[in-house]
Amino acid sequence: MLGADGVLSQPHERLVYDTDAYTIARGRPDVVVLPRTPDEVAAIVRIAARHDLPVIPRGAGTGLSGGCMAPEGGLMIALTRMTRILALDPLNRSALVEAGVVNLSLSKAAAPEGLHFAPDPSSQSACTLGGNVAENAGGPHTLKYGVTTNHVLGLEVVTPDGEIVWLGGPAEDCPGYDLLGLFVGSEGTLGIVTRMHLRLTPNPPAVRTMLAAFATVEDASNAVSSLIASGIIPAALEMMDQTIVEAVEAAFAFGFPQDAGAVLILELDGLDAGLDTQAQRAIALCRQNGARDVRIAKDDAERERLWIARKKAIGAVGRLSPSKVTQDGVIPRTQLPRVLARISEIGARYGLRIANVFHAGDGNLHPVVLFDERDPDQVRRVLDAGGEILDVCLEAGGSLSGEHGIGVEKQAHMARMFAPEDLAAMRRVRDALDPQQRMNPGKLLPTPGACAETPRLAMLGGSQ
Amino acid sequence: MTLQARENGLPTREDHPQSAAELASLLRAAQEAGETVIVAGKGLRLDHGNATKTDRLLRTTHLNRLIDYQPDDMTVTAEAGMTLAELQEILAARGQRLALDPAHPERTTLGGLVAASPDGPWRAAFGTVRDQLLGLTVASPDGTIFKSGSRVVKSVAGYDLPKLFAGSYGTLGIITQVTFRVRPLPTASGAIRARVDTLSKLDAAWRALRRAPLEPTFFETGVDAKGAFMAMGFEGEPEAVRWQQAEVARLLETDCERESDLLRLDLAERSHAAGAPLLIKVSLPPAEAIAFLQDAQDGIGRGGTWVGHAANGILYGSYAAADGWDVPAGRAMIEALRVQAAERRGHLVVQRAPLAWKAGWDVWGPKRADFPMMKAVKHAFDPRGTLAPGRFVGGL
Repeated sequence: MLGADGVLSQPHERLVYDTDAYTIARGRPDVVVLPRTPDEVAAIVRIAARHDLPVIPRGAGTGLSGGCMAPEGGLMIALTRMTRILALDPLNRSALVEAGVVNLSLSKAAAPEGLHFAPDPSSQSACTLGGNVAENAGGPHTLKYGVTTNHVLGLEVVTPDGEIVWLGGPAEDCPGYDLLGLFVGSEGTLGIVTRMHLRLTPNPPAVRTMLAAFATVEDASNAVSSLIASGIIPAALEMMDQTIVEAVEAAFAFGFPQDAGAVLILELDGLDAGLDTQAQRAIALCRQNGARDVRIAKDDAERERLWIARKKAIGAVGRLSPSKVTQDGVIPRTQLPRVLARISEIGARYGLRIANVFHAGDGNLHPVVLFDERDPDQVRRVLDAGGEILDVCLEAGGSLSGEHGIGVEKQAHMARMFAPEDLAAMRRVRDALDPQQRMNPGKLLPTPGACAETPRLAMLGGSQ
Repeated sequence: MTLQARENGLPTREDHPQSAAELASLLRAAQEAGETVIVAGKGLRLDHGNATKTDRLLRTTHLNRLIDYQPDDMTVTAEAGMTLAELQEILAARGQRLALDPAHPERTTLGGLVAASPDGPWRAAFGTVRDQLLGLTVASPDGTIFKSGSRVVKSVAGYDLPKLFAGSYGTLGIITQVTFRVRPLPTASGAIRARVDTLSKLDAAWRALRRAPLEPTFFETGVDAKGAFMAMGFEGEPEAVRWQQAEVARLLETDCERESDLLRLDLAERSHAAGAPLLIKVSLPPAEAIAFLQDAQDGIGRGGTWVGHAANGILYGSYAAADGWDVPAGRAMIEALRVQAAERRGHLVVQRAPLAWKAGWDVWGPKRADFPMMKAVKHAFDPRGTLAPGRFVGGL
């Protein structure tokens, strides 16, 4: 059905599918298939159902929580050959695309119409839109524009029985339960998204992008709070600490101030009228909170370079160590200084270097823990420190994940964020829509009875 | 409560629990006794949905405490019985708001706001309830109380159950507490309205404004006794508001009236069409909305008053004289409009209709391919059919 190159069953062919960007967790699928149409996906899912095989959907494998590896083997459906943009509808500001379309490709295709797809994760030049939907992906510009779920109008899904069903569609407010909203962020555990109607957003007529340098993370955090409290809604408000700034400067030579304890990237967009007034107010607020230097990107090229540096920051940190894990806790914004201090203390206690680059405006932290994956002791310390960091986020009233999802990484922590009855409500959904638990098993929900204190070390090494 | 709602099969037994725990135990007792329950806040939208006959009514209006408001984090948590107007007053004292502006906020409780998910003009810029909702606490028919979502502005931890409950009309559980993101009040605001004499001119105006570099906080259109109109509202720096008002006038090349933000409140009330016995909601791809309106006004749907959200393709049509209509003829008109909406890739829902129309009629329209999934979800949360059986889509 799929042709010789559409089925990968040799061990060497399946090797790259062992893991996503959360490289600590590995597990090899028994077979990988590469369908080209929704009908093929449905036929494969029906075959899996007949043979009672786990089904693991996968896009580009850029996920950061182990959401698309195969902890129990099974049949992996890679959607990377379903890459067609089927329709662009400028007047309705929507697009109909296949699940394997790369995020940035859609924005590029929509650019001549003055539109773009607003969610812009750092991996946007590689990650697929289907993966964005599965994880409810975010990005720097979600502060003003919202996350993936705010930009999905309709989804064509293949159910665990192999039926093809549309949820939502080209018109908003489809009658009935919001299954569309339920599917976004469900990490492939309820079905496989094959095509989608996505909302496109007009490109802002004007943009002002600023880089503000602060002596300390605390000063930068206070500036974030002042900016948000002032009523300004920046398009993006990102923080990078000294470790990140050093790594990024070494990689991109943008001219970041090397002696700053933290920098903020602040972007305002909208109509030209009034934007400079707002920018001046924002700069004044940064200065009141101790900004030593505020630089405004002088043109689009400089703005572009600044964003490349930001989006490739975690990659640049790769120069500092063989392995890294990027965490994703969310905290109430006002807790930033306190929580960042706790993270730094945790790093010191475990003897681990932790760098921070994150969506400060949303309170969405990304502590990047640097280590060597070949050393089991370091891996253990990374997992333990990561658990403590998540606990700190939860104690502060926050969440386990802002945009990376739970996957296998934070599964065991779900019971720390949610009470048993909260998790039971989620299980009702799972049991209702995937009673055989065949779709992406071993992800998102904690295994009943599993001890929340035990990281899933058993998975290390997987089925290699 | 409207007479309409009272006639909509509402029970005479009514309880006013003082706490979420009391509400949950009343609910469990009802389930154990095999009784059915409908939940209400102020009851403004109780007449939505199919006719349902229930044994008891649980009213949430005594659950009206503010639970947690963190202005600096821009999140607020309150009990389900607090009204939207009360919440807006609390938020306004700190220069903030919940960016939702449905009709009659003083008669809309927060629980009802989530359960019925009414929209308002701000939808153009801020979306609907589902876009502002961060977390929920829900009482299940078995008496358990669970939380979902979070109290932070961004969270992807587990299934997004708040979305599932938004617009579920009390058929999956009873909402006892809600958490919303809030936003700052704007520095300045203003609006502009243009009247045109034909619907084809209205369509041309829509296209011109849709392509223009404007950032409206509302974008409304409609047809009333005085003809067709289009209205836009703006917020932000005063110079940005003034520039956009001038730009609209320039683009439309017609007489425009500058208005204050009060226009928005007036338009929101109109979408509720209080007093009209028949109110329908049509959702379409936005570029189809005015063409639909034209077909409706020229054909079987003539005589309606329409208002809607032009940026989102949402139209509300009301018919003041429907009470006197012949029932089969009235339903046939609605079904014909429903077909026209479907041909334009949209759908039609009857929000309010004379009770006589509702017997043996699904106001939500035909079942779609996702119905078996909806049924499975309903069964998962309300296995004994305790909560307003029959009220929702496909008789759920």
